[in-house]
Amino acid sequence: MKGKLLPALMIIASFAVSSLYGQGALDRVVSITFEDPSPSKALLDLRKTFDLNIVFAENQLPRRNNFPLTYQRKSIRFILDAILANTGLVYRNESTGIVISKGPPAPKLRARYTVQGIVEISGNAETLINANVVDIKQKEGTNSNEQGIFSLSLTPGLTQLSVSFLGFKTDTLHFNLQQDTFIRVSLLREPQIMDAVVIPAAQQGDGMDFGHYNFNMEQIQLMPKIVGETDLIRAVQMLPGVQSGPDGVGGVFVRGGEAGHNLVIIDDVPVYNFNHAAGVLSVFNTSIVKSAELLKGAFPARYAGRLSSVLDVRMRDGNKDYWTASGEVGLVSGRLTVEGPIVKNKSSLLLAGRASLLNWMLKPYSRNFKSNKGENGESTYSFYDFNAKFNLEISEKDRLFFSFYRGQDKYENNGDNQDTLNLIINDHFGSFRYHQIYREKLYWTNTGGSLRWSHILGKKLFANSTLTFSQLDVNIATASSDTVAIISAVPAILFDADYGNYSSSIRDLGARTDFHWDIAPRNKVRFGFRIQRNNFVPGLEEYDDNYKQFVRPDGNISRTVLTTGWALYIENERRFFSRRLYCNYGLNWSGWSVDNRNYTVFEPRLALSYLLADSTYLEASASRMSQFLHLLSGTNIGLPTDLWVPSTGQIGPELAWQYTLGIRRSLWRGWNLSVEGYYKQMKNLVNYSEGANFLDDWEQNITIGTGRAYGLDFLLRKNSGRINGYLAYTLGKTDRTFPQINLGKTYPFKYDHRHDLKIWGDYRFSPWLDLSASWIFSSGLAFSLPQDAFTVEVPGVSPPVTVVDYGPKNSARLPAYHRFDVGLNIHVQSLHGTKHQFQIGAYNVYSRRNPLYYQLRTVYVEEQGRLKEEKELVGVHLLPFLPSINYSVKF
Amino acid sequence: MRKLLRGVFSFGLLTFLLGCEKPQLKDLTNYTPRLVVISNFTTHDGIRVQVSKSRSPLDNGPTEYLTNARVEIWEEDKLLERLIISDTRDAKAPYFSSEIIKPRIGVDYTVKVAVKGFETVTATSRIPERVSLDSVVVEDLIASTDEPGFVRYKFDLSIYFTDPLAERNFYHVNVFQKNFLPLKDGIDKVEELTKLIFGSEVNSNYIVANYDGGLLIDDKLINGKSIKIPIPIAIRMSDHAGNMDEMIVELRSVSEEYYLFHATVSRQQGNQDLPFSDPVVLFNNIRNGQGIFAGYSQANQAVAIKPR
Repeated sequence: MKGKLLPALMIIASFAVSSLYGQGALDRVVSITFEDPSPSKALLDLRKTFDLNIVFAENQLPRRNNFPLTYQRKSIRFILDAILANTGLVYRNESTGIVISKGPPAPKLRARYTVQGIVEISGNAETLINANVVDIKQKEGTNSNEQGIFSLSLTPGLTQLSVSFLGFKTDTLHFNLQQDTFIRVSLLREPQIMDAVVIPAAQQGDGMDFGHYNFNMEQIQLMPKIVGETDLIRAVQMLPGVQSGPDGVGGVFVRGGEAGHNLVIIDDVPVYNFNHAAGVLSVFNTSIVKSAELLKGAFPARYAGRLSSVLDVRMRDGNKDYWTASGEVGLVSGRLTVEGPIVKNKSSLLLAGRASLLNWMLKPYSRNFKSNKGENGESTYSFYDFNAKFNLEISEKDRLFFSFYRGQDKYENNGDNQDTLNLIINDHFGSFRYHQIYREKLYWTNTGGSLRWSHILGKKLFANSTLTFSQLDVNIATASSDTVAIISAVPAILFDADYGNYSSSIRDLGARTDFHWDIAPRNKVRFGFRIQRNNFVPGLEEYDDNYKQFVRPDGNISRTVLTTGWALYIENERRFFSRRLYCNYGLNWSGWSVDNRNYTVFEPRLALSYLLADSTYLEASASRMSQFLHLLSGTNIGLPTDLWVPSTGQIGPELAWQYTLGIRRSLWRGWNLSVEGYYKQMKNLVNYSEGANFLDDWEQNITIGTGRAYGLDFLLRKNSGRINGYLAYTLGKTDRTFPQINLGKTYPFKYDHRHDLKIWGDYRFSPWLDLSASWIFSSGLAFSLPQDAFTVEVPGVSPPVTVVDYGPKNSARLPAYHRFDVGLNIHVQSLHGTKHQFQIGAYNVYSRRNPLYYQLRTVYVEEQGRLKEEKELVGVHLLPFLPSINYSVKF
Repeated sequence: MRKLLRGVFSFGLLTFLLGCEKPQLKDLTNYTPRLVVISNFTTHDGIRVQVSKSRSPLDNGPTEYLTNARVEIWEEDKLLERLIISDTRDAKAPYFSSEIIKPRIGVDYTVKVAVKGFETVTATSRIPERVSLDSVVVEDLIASTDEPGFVRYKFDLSIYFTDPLAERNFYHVNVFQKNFLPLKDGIDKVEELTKLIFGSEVNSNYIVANYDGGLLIDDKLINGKSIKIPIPIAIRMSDHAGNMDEMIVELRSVSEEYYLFHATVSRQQGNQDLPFSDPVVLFNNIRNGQGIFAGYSQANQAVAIKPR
């Protein structure tokens, strides 16, 4: 009886009071906190607190429902949606009040629906990579991919989606998931981003690290700068397990690998030489870099092509909301960035340029220097970068990106001198007037571009198709002439000239398609393929043959090599045991066709991370990597003349297995510790044979060998509070064995730093002032110290020559490298929103004389009126104490 | 967990302490000289040994030859001869030579050199089997006139020989040009031998231009095959002497230590002017000292540049 009467009474009651209520009651904004999750109590509270006539049958309501208890400035409609979620009850606004009753039969809900979306920066619609997207109720999460897109499969019902990214305010979305949904999330920047400084930032939220580091470019700006320049590669070199070349050389050497073992890509385009200014700076203009990630182990299968590391750099897309500009000027360069929408919120264009300002110092200095030597002439050095990016949102599912880069370094040195000499030769007096002229030019140019089509194929499947182009050109040209005029009764002129030209290039055309399939929150698959066509001109030497014609040298020195490479990959990212175990396994299958020979390599990859206890992870990985490109260095320091050569019919791919085992734990008050051991075995390494150089026929003068590297990387970091920073230490050992080097015996690799310690900290005094400092200590480089000199003269046969015995290769050590840098950052924001940043700093504060190399040199000294030749071991040092000042502005 | 962390830190500390490295730059001024022994020997010349002392790399002074050394040649445990110093009155580079020993192919000879104040040094080597030249041929000869009285010749000097199978062989190929220079009266002539010196651009992993002329060859890529070595030559000769000039090819079958020492010395000499070049590690088979003691055998053949 009760069950039949109640509905009837409710209908009568609702008709009676319907005139008192309008639609406005549901939109009324209120704040309320409920005591417990009982829907009936909550409805009664609402009725009582806000004097609402809410009509409901208590027996239709569940005793408890899972809804938030606190509401701040929410509409009654919003609160009712939450209270009645998943109950099968609906409400309607009648003249009598708000009537709650059974709704029409709910459509049959699927077990799961997909929430797909894109994470952007509020204000410029720049997409965010690796943003955390987590459903707080279901405790399922994912990360946005390289295009800022995410996909999450969730059970239907009230959903509380939290979207977060370092330096941005976390946004939480509440909605009732009843169907597949696409959402666009715009995150607001934190007003004081420096409160959460951490460099490097670990990947957030997904419980794994594996020595992968995501750089936050805004935070890199705080680090002490060299000659006023923020530099991404300098930040990379501050990580554990990453060694750098000596000052003025640059280079990145990861876990005992070589300079050519690092895959550096910017928007999927490989960069073959990332150095400016002899390695002091890199080609990355930090003002347009959106994200940068370094992987030095546990490589996912989608990455291939180098043995030791991957630096994946993504350019910003450009502001889609409004036009903006920023500029920066330091001691050695200036840069300008302009960006804005072509069609608002649909497409944008970003243009950035950087040019060196060195010549205003270098030119007068070199002129003066040469003048003191009695010469006319000067030395100049300049570099520039130009970046462009265009992106177009064709539809919600399709986006098009075009990016372009070009950068060049140019060094020129020229001079001439003349004089008259009066000499007595064989008792005859003669006057000679000589004139020497020389010109030297060295330049290297990087050009790259990519066109990418990003397409959402389905609710859980994304695809990126990319065309890439990359080219590196290196050219060295020299010219010199000597003219001697003999002033005598029979005058004569002797003339000799020498011209040389060396050039090399590598051109890379590629196409790739990558698929990203989010099967379930704990199950993701990536797969794809890549094809590339390379054109190598490893060396070309042209000599003037008595000024009559240019001739090419004999042999293969200028042989053009055409190659075709391809790769297929698949990787699966899974979580097991209530997400305690993370697993990424996959396979990359690569191939290379050259000189009628085909190589194929299988590269299995496995990475495991297990949550041992509260925020303590045990991690292990095994990766096989290969590379078909080899960087040959003809010098003991890295120079642009280093030559990229391909695997050929004679040279197979370089191969490496790397195994890692580590532990990572969050400590207290924002401190984190990670320790990872690694062992890397390298095969088929390619190097110049001992005594060969870049002017030789490279194919005839290389040697194939093996290498080994093992060590421990420690990283202790703090990422909250006023003081932020980290301590990175690596204990490592690496060696090489080549048949044609060191007489075939194993020797220490040049960058075999046993100890490598880096400390960086930033103290924030106030929102507008912080002090950043770093100290680096590294064991000395391995090198060959001259030990003995003696004369070789086969009795009665050969003329005497002096030779130097260096002992076993790299058996000595240069003095340890250490350096202290400091920078004071001042941040000012004008009332109009213009942001200014000043940095006053110093590089190598105590002016440590870190040697670049040691060289046995001949010097001439006068002794008792005679010129005497002496030898001395000279250390060459670069980059002493360098003050810097930098100013940047963003409109 | 704290125990685990303590364990990690302890392990880190231990590895840090154990990971200490060698000292830094040695003090080159506290230099201790060693004996330097240089000797290439073959079947018909007896054994000549030059003894000097090494010096600091910073010392640019002249070579100090040691004439007071005791130099002995041994065959296994048997002393064959104690070498005597050559006439040193005019010699800038004195050496010790044998009077009795006529070295034989395939026999291990050991040199022992002792000098007061130095550690005694020893080295062992043998003369490898002789490899004959199959032929030496002048090919593709082109003659063109030069200035009056002279002719310019371009041709390939092709050297043929067969590398023995089943053993590792090393060679030193020397090419000499035998000139007949007219004396002032134009009637008598004098012979002059000029050795061909190759530039380092011919270098590869298995061929090295010897610093003193000729090519050093490792048979790794040619093992057991008939070999042709074409050497492009361009020379200018007086036209009346050209008919008599000839090329002489010397094929030395050398021991591995001969090859390695001369190859590394040659690579170092060819590389010393290049900035930033990595140093070349020298081969050395003198125990406790420096230098080389190595045997070789040789075969010669001459060929006229123009057919007579």
